[in-house]
Amino acid sequence: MTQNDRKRGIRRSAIWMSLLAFAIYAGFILMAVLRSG
Amino acid sequence: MSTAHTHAAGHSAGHSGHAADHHDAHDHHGPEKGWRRWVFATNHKDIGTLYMLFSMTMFFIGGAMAMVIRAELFKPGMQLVDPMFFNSMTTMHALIMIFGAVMPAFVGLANWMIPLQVGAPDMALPRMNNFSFWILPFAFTMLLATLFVPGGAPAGGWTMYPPLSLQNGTSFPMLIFAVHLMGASSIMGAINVVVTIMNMRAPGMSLLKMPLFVWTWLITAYLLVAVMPVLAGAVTMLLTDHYFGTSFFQAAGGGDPVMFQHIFWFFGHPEVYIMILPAFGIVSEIIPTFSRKPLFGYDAMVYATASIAFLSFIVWAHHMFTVGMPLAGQMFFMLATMLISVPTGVKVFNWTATMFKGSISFEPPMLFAISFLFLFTIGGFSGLMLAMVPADFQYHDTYFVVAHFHYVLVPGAIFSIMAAVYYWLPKWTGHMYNMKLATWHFWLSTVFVNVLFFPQHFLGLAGMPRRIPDYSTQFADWNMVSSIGGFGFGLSQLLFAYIVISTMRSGVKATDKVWDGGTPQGLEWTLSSPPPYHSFEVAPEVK
Repeated sequence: MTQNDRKRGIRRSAIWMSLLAFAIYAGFILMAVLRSG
Repeated sequence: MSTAHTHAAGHSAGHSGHAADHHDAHDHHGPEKGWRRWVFATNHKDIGTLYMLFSMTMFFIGGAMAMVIRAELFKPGMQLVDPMFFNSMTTMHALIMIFGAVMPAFVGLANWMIPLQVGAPDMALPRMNNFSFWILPFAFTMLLATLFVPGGAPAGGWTMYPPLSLQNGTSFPMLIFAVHLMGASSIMGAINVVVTIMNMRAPGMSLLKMPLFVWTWLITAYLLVAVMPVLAGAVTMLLTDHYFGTSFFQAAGGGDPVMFQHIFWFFGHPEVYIMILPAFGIVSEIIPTFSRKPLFGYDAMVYATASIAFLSFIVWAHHMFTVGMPLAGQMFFMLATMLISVPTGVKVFNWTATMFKGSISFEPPMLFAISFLFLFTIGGFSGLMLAMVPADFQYHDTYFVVAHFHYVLVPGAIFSIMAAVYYWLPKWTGHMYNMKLATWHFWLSTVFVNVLFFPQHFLGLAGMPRRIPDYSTQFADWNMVSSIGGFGFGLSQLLFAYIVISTMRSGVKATDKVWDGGTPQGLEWTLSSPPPYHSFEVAPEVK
């Protein structure tokens, strides 16, 4: 594995984890909005 | 732990293709001088130290609040504080201990140990690491500032159940903002851990060759990323209910207060495992070292940890049996909760089997690890009792619950942190601590923690409710015993602070292996004590 592969891996996993966290945050609020309707 | 670590080549050998890149990237500079080293810290060891010191500060602030609680409960009647302030103390004690003491201590340990154990030069995202730490002092300053605002600090319990929490005054938005900040800090810390473990492992270190502490933290980090946004969502909705006219949880507007409890505990139960899985990892490192045997059932330990993490998502409603739910729901959550005892039992069995026929010695880390094993199991058993729906109807909101979770969190999580500090402190500082004093600290802590929390089982079974400043005289004797235990435990921790601070300043030089008489495994022991500023400039090769 080269240094560039590693950097790409770091960037990719950081972005996916951040998106996952945001999706869970937004998803739970959306679920509560739908349930309140 | 995998036997692979015994073959680790260390930092002086095993050059790999990307080793030279690390040299270029770090340029051999040392730490900055003065305050800049800490404020602009990007080194995993410096940030780990900041986390650990912050955690210890919060431990004493939260502990002082516990002393107020135990002083008020020393005898029946109202003696020291008014009921509202008492409720603030229970609420703030929980928030500070959970989010300020236990979680940052584990993140501090992760920062210190994960790069050392996977053979990386640093964490993958060092600037984000700095940011995730420095959020915390702001969050907790704001939380503690609520003690001085009109209406006082939050007093509705750390669970922030509406509608009670919505009746808080000035402290409410400060609490919500502080919780958001703590959540953001935890998520960033968790992302850093996942990214580091998935991308920065030394050549040859496959997932099933990682030390158990790294494994348990990887699983914990996934739990954090999955549930901290849920807490953030819940408190965001509380905020909009309070200030923007929404009715997520307000019955008057068609909302449902019980929905908050479901959302909160969907976060809250995995949170319990966030505070205990890294403890399992620590104990899995220490017991083999001082039993002079490899860990029994490494693979089973990994799978058991993953099973516990999975089960933690499907048991949340056992915290709220008494709000009412369909019988099928009660049965499901009861049985799923009981199921957790299977992988937990695997772990306890494996630790015991590791010690079986081992050549055991009782240095302070091992003493704390063994104490963890016994006392955490007591907390586990009382948890099993609470899992039973009909029994829970009786125990709910009594001191039995208080005894249960304190056994899990104090001689469980906190003892494991102390075990970890006594295990790795000589590696961090390069100094050996005073073993006699540390052994005193262990015995005082172990005796007093039981004097403090064991009688609370009796009080709970006899019907004493939690979160009250006064109680019926029938509960007087055991409350007095519990308070004496509390004062003793609190004072004993001053000894811990003294040992840690004096070891940071001076002490007998520790060897690289530190535990020469034991069999410590793992890459961290191939480095000097203290390790060089950049841990593994040349990646070690794991065979």
